Amino acid sequence: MSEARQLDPDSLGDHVDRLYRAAWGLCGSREDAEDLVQETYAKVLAKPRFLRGGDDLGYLMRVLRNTFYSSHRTAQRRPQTTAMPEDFEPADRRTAQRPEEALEARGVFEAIVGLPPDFRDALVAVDVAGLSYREAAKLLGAKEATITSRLFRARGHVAAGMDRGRSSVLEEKN
Amino acid sequence: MGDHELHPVDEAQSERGRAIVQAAVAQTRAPLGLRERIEADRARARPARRRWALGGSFAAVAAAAVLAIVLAGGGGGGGPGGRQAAAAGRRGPGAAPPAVHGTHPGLLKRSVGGVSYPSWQAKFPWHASGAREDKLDGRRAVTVYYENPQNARIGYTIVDGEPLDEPAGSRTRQGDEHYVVLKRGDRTVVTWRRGGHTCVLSAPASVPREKLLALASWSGTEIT
Repeated sequence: MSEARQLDPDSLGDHVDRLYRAAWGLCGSREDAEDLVQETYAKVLAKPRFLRGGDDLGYLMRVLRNTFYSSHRTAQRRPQTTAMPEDFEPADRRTAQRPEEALEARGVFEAIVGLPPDFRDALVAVDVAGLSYREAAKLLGAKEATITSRLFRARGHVAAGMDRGRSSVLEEKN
Repeated sequence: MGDHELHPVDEAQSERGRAIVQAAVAQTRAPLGLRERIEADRARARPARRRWALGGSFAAVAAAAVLAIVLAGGGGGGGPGGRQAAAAGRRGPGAAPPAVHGTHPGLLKRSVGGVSYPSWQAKFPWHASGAREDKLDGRRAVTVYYENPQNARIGYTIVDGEPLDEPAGSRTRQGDEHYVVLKRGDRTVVTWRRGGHTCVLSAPASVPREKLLALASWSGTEIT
């Protein structure tokens, strides 16, 4: 077994994008995702952390999930506010010039949030956060084959959900 | 979406879903405000660290010297003192600016270790106005100067050889690169690594941090 090493706070910033996307996939809103990521970092930074191996992202994802399940579900019972499309601020400066892409991304994250939790978690871990199947299996306490199966179906349902979304938009226009 | 169990998913649909998610992921990054809040939390949490311009290591000395040169050449006062900075300040940008690359209009015809200087003028109101080359403990440091219509001047330095230690400062990440932003006197300095080399951008404090980061992150390859 590899020796424990201290998690380097200076390297944590490298994972912000992945954690933010994962948080958005879990929470369903950018605002909640920001809060969740900041809360995750605050917990990790609160005291020195010692890890075995180089799986910083896997560790951060574990803290993020735990934080989400412990606090954000409670928060979700409170009345929610939703950013209106005209208030939508692209998270990425590059999409500031392409608002349709930013809205498309939001639709995709909404489709992810709508998945059954097991499917959603597998897709968030692998496709959104970028963990390997093995890392995702460890994170989610499932076999790799189970992750593969959930991921396969989750992807298909995201595609179907996006198709339904487009259809309803077309119907509204007509 | 409560009927997932009722609808089988085929291979093509799953592959399409993977591509859809991948596209959304590629265009989604954490907002700058979140990065800044995390950076502030991180700065509060970490113990006092070695300052960039202090310390005795080669990298720290070289970094301090680069900073001094950029600050002095950039036209701002208040930077670290020392003979090296003063000499650099007296020399100023002594060479003509590099020309815009003929086939890559987003780049200048000048590079260090394979890292080219950008030509911003097609995208930003900054044009190359001069250049200077210095030696820092045997390392080549080339600075290209850019000016805007208000005659503000930015210095863009690339240091040849191994990258320098990163200074303590506000960190932010954009794409594959992360940037450290420092305030030094009346100058704002951004440093990052590109192509294995340290790049330093120094601007008057009148240039907003966001503008400076936009310039730093613009590699010039966006225009072909």
